[in-house]
Amino acid sequence: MLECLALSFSYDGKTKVLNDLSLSFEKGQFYGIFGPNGSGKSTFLKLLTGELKADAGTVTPLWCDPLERAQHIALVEQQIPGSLPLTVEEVALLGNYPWVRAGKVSHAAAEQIFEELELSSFKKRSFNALSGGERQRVMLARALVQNTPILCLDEPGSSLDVGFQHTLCRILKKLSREGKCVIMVSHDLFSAPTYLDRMIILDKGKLVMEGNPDHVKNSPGLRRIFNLPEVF
Amino acid sequence: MKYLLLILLAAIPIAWGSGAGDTGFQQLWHLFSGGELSFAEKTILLDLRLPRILGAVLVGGMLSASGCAAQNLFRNDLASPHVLGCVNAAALGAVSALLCGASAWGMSCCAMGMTLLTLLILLIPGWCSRWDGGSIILAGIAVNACCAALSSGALYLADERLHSVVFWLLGGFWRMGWKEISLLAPAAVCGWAILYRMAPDMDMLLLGDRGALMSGVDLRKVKTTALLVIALLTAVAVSCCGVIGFVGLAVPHIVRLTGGGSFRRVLPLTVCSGALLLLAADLAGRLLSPDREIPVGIITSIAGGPFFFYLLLRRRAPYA
Repeated sequence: MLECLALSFSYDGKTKVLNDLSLSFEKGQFYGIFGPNGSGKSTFLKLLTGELKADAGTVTPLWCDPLERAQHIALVEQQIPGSLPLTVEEVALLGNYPWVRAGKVSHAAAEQIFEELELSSFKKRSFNALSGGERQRVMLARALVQNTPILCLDEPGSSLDVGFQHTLCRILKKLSREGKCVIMVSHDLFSAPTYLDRMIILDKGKLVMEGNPDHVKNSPGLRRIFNLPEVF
Repeated sequence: MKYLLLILLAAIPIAWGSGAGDTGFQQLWHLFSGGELSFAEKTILLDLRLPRILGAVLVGGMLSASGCAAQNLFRNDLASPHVLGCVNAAALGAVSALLCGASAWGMSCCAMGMTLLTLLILLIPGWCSRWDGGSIILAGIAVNACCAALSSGALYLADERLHSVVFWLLGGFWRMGWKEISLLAPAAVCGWAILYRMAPDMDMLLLGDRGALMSGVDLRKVKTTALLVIALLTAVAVSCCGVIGFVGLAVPHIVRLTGGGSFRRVLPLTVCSGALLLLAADLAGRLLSPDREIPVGIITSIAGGPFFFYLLLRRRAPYA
């Protein structure tokens, strides 16, 4: 569904942020990308989504037209907009944009998405009146309304409470079971792996581990990479 | 929206029948009922007041629409055609043409030319910074300062034409005739129609460049088109009636404070509110001082200054 081969990238032309990275992502799978700060997780996601172009290597398929790309990949950003003069419902329905602009009909079940993300009760409220966590849920709803086969999330749990982090992972797992390819960048090594199908560990721009979450989470190499105590 | 439209439609005959001199509502009634009117009364009603009213409505709608678009485009409450330098650039072009003895069309062409030149200057940091709004606004402030200085230089060279140039720079509708309306009307309708059609794109810009790009927005195309429309609306409006401040900044904010919502809903409300505001300001300028009318630019700036200050104080709230 999405494949990258020998990806390398640097922002300044000298320091390699990503080095010879090859991975493939299949539909119906829930992937988690982990790594210490500066390991290249977010940069890797930007290369996957086509926001950045690799210095070397390829990402396939490559969508040149932003509208076509938006019909295949939806992104939930780490940074939530500070202020939007719109209601919760209006922000979520912005996800219909690529389909409306292309003259197609979106098949996203917006009401069901509002229910699942516990947004139904305040969908007429102003986005600016929400807390950080609630805003993050609205941005997630917008990405789900976009209704794409691939869903990428860049640290989506950073503003969410522990309870909703689990809810989020449960929803993402369900979406992957329905056939979507879900790729999430996260720092949550404790609860997120329970829901994942595959766990990917990056360190210093290189792929150091990839596989079943139970296997990766219990590997001694992981403690070394994250400098974790033995109790983990 | 429909109430605002009704108020605007009701305000037009009030402004039409009001003004200095003996021509008032009775003569206006005669005009519609086929009653007897002198040549002077007909001229006042049809060739002086009517184009003036239409000018105020069109310019109010044009400036407020361009402010509304600029605020979405840069995701900045303080963005307006004035801050981007478009107003002062258009004024510089029009003043230069006025000093050279150009006609209304000549002034509009010069204003448009200067605004497009400004736009090109603004596009350079836009391209270099991947369309970062902050860089474009800072470039606009720099261009604004240069254009204001050059306009002052033009005033210095104006000699005996100084009074007419200064009066023109203060902004007003006393020069408005059918020739100006024939220029304003198509530009306004085209600008509003393009912006209305771009409404989904303008909403997406609120998500930020990354969010908009990943949602399928062609940022370069959308931002360039929006900038061109802002420049068109501003340049044509300024070339016909001089510099009228704060309409582009204040009106979209008033609309968002009272209702808000998507661009498709805000734009028509903004256009109607801007039209109503300038119509009221023009009427106030004519009635407050019948012997020597107060330029509209002075009235809107006096009212807009405190509002701008209030806005700066209020701006902290959403980000707290």
